[in-house]
Amino acid sequence: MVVSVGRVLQENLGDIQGNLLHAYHMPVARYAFYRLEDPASGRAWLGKLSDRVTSATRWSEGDKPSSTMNVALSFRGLEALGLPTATLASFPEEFRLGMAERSEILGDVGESAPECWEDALKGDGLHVLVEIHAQTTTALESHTEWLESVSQAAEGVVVEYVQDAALPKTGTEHFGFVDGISQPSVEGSALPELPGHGTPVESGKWKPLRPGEFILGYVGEDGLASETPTPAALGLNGTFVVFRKLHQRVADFRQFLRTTAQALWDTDDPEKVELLAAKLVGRWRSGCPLELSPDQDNAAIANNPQINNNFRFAQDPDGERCPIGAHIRRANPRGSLDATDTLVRRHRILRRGLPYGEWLESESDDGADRGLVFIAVGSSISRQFEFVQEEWINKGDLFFLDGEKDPFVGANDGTGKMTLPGPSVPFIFNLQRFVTVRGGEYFFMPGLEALRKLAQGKWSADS
Amino acid sequence: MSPSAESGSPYENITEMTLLTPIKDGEADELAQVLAAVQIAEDSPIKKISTIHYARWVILDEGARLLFTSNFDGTWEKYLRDFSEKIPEGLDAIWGHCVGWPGAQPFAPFRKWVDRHQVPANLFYAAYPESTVREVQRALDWKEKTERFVAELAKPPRSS
Repeated sequence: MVVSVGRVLQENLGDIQGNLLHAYHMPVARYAFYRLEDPASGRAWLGKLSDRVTSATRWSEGDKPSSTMNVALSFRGLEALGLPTATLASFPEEFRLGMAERSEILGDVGESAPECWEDALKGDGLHVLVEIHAQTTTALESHTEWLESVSQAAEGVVVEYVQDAALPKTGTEHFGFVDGISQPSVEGSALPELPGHGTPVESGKWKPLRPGEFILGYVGEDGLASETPTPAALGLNGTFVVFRKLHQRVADFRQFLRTTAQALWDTDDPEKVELLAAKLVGRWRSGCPLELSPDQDNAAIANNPQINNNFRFAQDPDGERCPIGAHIRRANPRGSLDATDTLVRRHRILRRGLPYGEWLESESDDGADRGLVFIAVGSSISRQFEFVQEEWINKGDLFFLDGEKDPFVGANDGTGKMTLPGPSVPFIFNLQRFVTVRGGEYFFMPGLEALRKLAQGKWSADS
Repeated sequence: MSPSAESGSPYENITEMTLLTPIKDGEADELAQVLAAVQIAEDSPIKKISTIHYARWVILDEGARLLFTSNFDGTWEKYLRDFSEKIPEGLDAIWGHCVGWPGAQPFAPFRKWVDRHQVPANLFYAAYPESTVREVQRALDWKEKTERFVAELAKPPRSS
């Protein structure tokens, strides 16, 4: 259902949950998943949590809290709260099915197939996701204590799974790259406008995306209000959140870089290894983009947010600076497909993930689990996250790269190929899967008022 | 008419679509003119959708009905979305002459209308069902590049 066009996002930040439009930028987080055994007690518990949920209201200087909390529900969770059939049916199909059912579309096959996921992550028990972000582990523990006491006091509220996350000491993700540089900017989100984050428009400028791409009930890039479930008040100021636990094979990745540099250039000099790593991703590990500095890393570019995302691929149609199949070019083609294929601005996601596990010090694998808690936010999981994953990450057709997958996060199987246009080295071969899925689910993160009404049973069939 | 016609395609990567829609009374001539103009346009809106192998519009039954058939890469849903979002004016210019046309946007009623008027294929054959439009274009590009390369190789070495 379509609600009033022209709602102003900025006036509603207090009703939208935090960490969606603006990142918290906190170094530690805990993702706790609960199963609800009884609708009434589940709602009562949710009501207690809703009082402490953090909104998107901007913090003034020195006002940043030591910890935050946010709550989202899977389709099974909405069922467990006792919503009536008609309301449940008004949610989008992919959300109702859940992530495991969408494995073919997502490329979650082989070792990433749902059969291989961690037991607790593949069942139907992930009803409610409670995210705590904190400035310190002490603050995280103290917030958790409160959550545990409230949950233990509730009848039939069962912890199914807990995943901790923390930025490694390097300040990078586990493959060693500075992550999260490019995020779509959103009209009315009250964030400063950085070049390269919106959608490219004429005269080298960028335009922020319209809020309906990321929050339900607002006008999107198609000029229409994003569709909400019914009743509309349930959807308003809410959005969809994709949770994925992605295990990273760090030792394999490092080994691959050395072996491949050796094969390509007859040396595994760090210089060549770094060049190869940058070609796979489209950025040097510092975050400096290849489009702006194709031959060597440049810290001055990497560290300047006014510059480090300000580039377009139209300047490099053949991919001689940044290969067309590089990770960042696939994940966000920056308008380069608009003329002939699809409107890129309709397929953007906000990423709010955080790495988990300890940094790998040794050369060889230590057997420890490490990777990324991947979080994607958008008003349509199928049009945004799933489309990017299927069409851009795991297919190459739109880029004239048929048969190729994303070299960095794609579902490669050891026989993957990457085309490197340019005079020296045309192809990289034998790409393997460096990232495997350990589990995940689709969640709906309601607005604060909707969350309170859900907790009061306003829309439930049994109350 | 098919109740929920996803696609009758036996192939994984290529989909067929047949739509049969009633033309509004007395508008067939105007529709014919629109179609003729799209055919010759340099910037024909069809060219904005890179997944279409073939598409044809045929005015049938002395101007009573419009037949549309197309073969395209990918799924029905994604194909329709590209249509609705990328070339809504083009769709409105054509199917606006048909009865009950809801407009190409928003997507949901458009999709419903297409669903209602889709005719499932009794038989669909594709000679190269595994190859997308992009793959064919790329293969042709490689053929041309290879021929140029071979032509160079066939020449004797230049004396230095």
